[in-house]
Amino acid sequence: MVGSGAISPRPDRRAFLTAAGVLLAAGLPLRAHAAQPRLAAIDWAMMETAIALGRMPVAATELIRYRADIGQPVIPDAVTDLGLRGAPNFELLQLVRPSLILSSPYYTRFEPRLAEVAPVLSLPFFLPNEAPFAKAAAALHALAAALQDPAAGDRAAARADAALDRARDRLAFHADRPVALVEIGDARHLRAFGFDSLFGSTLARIGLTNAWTSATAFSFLAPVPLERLADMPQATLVIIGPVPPEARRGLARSVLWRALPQVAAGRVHRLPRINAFGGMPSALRLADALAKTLAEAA
Amino acid sequence: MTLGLRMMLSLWGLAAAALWLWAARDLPWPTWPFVPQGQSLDQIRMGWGLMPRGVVALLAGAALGLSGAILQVVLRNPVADPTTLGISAGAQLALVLATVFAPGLLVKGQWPVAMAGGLAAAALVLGIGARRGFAPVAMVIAGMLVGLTASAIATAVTLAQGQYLLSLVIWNGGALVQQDWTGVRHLALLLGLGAMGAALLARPLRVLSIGADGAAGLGLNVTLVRLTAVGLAVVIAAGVSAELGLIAFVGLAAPALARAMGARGIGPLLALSPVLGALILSLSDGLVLAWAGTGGQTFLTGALTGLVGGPLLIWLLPRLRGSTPPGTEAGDGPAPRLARPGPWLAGLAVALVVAAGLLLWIGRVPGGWAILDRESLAAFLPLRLPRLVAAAGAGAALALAGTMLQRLTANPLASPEVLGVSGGAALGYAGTVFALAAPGALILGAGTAAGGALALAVVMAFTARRDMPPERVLLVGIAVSALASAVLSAMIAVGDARAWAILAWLSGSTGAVTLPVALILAGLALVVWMAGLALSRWLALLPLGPAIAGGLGLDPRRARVVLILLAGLATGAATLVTGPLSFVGLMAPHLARRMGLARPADQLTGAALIGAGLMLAADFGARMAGFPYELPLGLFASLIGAPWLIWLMTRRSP
Amino acid sequence: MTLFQIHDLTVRVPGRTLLDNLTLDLPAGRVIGLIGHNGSGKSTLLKVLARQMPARIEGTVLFDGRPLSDLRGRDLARRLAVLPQTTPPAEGMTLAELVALGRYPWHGALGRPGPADHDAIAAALRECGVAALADRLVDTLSGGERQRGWLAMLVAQAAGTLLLDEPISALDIAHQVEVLSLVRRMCHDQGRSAVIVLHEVNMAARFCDHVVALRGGRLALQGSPADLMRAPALTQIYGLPMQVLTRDDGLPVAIPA
Repeated sequence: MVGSGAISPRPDRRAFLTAAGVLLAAGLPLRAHAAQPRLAAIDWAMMETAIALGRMPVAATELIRYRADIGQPVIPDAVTDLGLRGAPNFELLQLVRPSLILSSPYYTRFEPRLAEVAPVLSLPFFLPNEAPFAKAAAALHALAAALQDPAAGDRAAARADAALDRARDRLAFHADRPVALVEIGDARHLRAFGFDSLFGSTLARIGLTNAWTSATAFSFLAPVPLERLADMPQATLVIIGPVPPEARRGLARSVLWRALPQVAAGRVHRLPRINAFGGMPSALRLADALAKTLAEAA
Repeated sequence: MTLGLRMMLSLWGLAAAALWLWAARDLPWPTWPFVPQGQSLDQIRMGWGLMPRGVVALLAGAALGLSGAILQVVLRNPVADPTTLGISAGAQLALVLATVFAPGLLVKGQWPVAMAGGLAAAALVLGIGARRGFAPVAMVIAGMLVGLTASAIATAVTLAQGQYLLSLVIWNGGALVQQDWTGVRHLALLLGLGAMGAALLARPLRVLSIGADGAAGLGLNVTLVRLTAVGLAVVIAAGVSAELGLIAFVGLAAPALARAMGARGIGPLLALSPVLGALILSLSDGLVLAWAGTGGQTFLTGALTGLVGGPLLIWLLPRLRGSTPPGTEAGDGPAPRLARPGPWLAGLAVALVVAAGLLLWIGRVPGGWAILDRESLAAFLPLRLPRLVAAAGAGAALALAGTMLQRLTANPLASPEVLGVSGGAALGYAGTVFALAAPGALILGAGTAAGGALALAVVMAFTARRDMPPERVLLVGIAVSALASAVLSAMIAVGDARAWAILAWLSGSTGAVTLPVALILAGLALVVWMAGLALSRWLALLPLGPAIAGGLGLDPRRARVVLILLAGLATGAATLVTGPLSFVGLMAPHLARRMGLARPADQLTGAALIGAGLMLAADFGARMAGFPYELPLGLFASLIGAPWLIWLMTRRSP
Repeated sequence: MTLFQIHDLTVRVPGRTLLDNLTLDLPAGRVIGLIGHNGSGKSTLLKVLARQMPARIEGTVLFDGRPLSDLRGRDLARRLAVLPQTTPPAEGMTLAELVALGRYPWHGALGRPGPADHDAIAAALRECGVAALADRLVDTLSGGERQRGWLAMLVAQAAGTLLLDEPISALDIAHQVEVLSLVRRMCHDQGRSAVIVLHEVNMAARFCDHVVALRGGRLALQGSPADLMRAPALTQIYGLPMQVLTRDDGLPVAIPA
């Protein structure tokens, strides 16, 4: 179907398919047709990986939420929103005529349908008991190889390494103090980022010690009681993303929260929302935000 | 109280205390004066963490036990509790809506929002129940359906908003973690007020226990007593929900155990249930504490009680007395009857084909609507045809299952959703997602079918009992659904990103269906339809009840097994596409009946066509309303189905 | 000839014995009335005869000389037709369709109804005097019409024996007489047997050929209506002093003394 030209903006069909034509005019510079592979990303980590390689996808999923919640890296308006990650819009996917679809094992159940539209590249990022950072780094090379541009992968990896090295240097002063990365769930629970999360595994790369030493059992959503923070009195507490409104009130009056050594000593820092299920760009954002925040505080 | 009972209670109490002490073994006791200043961190963890947590478990358990006991007494219904009456789900929906759309409402805490949601759900269920004479089975079905609808909408809203908020996960799981004594103060106040109210209500409730008419004859204001008692129970339950989250089934288990231990009469039941509730929740929380001591993760206490409560409900059901007399559930009034259904059925079929054709040709693209030309149609056909065929097949299969179940049980509220097959299939799907890192479509399908089959086997085991009336079979299905949803929320609560996969599937989508799968589904619907036509004499006989059907030589047990198998098969297959909830199986048979298709064969055919049409419409709506975001099919079908359901249930019996 | 031979029949439910060691023969070709006070076991006995008693039963029941449990469902239904105490609503069904259901034991779930079935249905509608109502919805009929319609279903079943559980309890006095006359005529004209549970002793005496009285799950009396309508017998059955008056036409009438 992709090559049939059935929905290309030929004048005689314009009456029927004006809207589809508008889409194509916006999304598809005709001259680039053969040279640039048209990427469609179902998975956010894959989308970020493509962006890190300098290949902005022509379409990706849940862009409304991505732009609102995460915002970085910036997704241009020309990129088509394919709808929910859990239920991507296949017809729209077909209309944007991708030459490669970027997916991950989360979406195995669509893979037969995706493969009908275009070849699918599915790379794993989050596997139980494995550090996602290494996977994110490997994905740069794997995607670049799939795009027959291994040099782009090397360049992106080098850029990332340089940025991470810079962050490590800036954070060297903090190396002897562990960092507890958390997201606040409600006034009594938080989400912890162990080594099996992207954030947790990034800490090791920038020379920081993760205070969550035990595996978080691949559980980004599993709530951890707040009092677990008392087990790591030395740690610096870093809260990623906003605190829910109902939790603010609860934390303000919580005896335990105020008694926590990190809170009592003022070693609590806030980072903006970063994509916990992202690729290398999210790892870089974390490293950069940590370096900035901790260095400013020091 | 007998000696054995006293022994058992003390043993439980000891076990709960031992578990708590085990969790506290490494922490020092706080010193007097009891203020945080000057205490070490560990002393604070003890005095403002673990100690209030232990007290909260006792208080919340007692409150839930009391709430369940009041509900069971006033509704004369041994399976009534905040979970089975939809109160908890109402509170959940209110919290989800507030979190997603109006987070400002939560700044003052979750109390008012949860309370409003719980009260609204209770009012709806009671309104339905009042029109059906507070018949226990009708009440539980109404409560479960309202609850299922609320959960479905909550899930779908969460999903459609593209966010799954940690605070909601925690709330769904019911966590007892404390960091100060505020929770204790709230719950103690709640329990104290509740106990006072219960003491005042005990005597009117005893009068009410002889029945509404008799009680009114003795000069009791029945409506006032009922409303006050139910209101009190709802406030207690919603208060606990707001403070701690969903803690399922304690309210059901405590009075049941109290009765099993020999508490006769209303006074002892109201007195013993809170004690047992406190012990149950303390014991559960003790287990969770011991578990948390060994691993890094938290298992939420409410999820644990749900795992215990589902099987308990299934065990209780055969012991449920005071069922609905036959015929009282028919709330529709005489439906019209077409003299010549043939042309109408043909018209329906033509309309369905025309609609399907139209939906193939039109659709949204970025910027507007488009009618496809021939070439584009050829390009889009491989995408649109499978989902149209799958949606129509699933709708028809659900409608056929619903028709069979409604005729089998002579109950117009029967539907595949409450047979438990959908719930079982959901469990199978979730189990597969959790057991394997990246399961393929085929393995997922197999796991889902296995779950559905297992639920079916449980229901069948009950139908095999000779003295099991059809509406009980329905309740077994409801119990299986309730267990499934408890397990699912536990899985999601202790889970991770895989929870996403489950949530996505729960709300249903035709997007991932391939043509062979769609054709298999449609073929299956066709086979079930033909089997239904062949058995249409059974379907005519069964609504007349086992006495008539048996008297005419039909073995009702065998007929029940065959029809439940057929309905289960159809439901399980359709569930793979639509997710566990759609209400099409409920609506389509009704619409067919209201059209005047009275004979079983006509009703089957008409319902299948209407079901296929409804699902096509739902699929179209789900894809177009939020373009390019494809909304969950289950949500869209439920949005059509839920108002219908409520309208149906509030119609007064003629 | 004997219709039912009941030997040492005991039925227990938890905490209660419904039928206690009952031994009894019921004659064929008669209208048999089962009477007794509330809880005497008369409905239980009828359920046992209809094989619709869920609880376990002890003892033997022979039907036409064969153990009742030996007969398979549709075999039994060809010989034995049952009308429960309350007839269920027949939602959306016409009277003709209801009566046609009586042919189920003969053609089963899949068999095509033949001319014999159509004849039996037409004859049953005529015999019960409801042929004119054939196309009406059952739920729109009056109580008496509906009861005659259900009887027509039993007639279409073409069973030699009818078991009726209080068939007149919901009817006014005129319809009571009408329905019982119909049952009596059906039995006497077509050589059928009927076992009818009745509350009203005068109705039993007037319409039955043979009366069986139970008391506390045991046989209290068995015999002709004349045997029944004696003050000492009635007093023993109902545990209450009874008096028998004689009407102008010579029929006895029982009233509490």
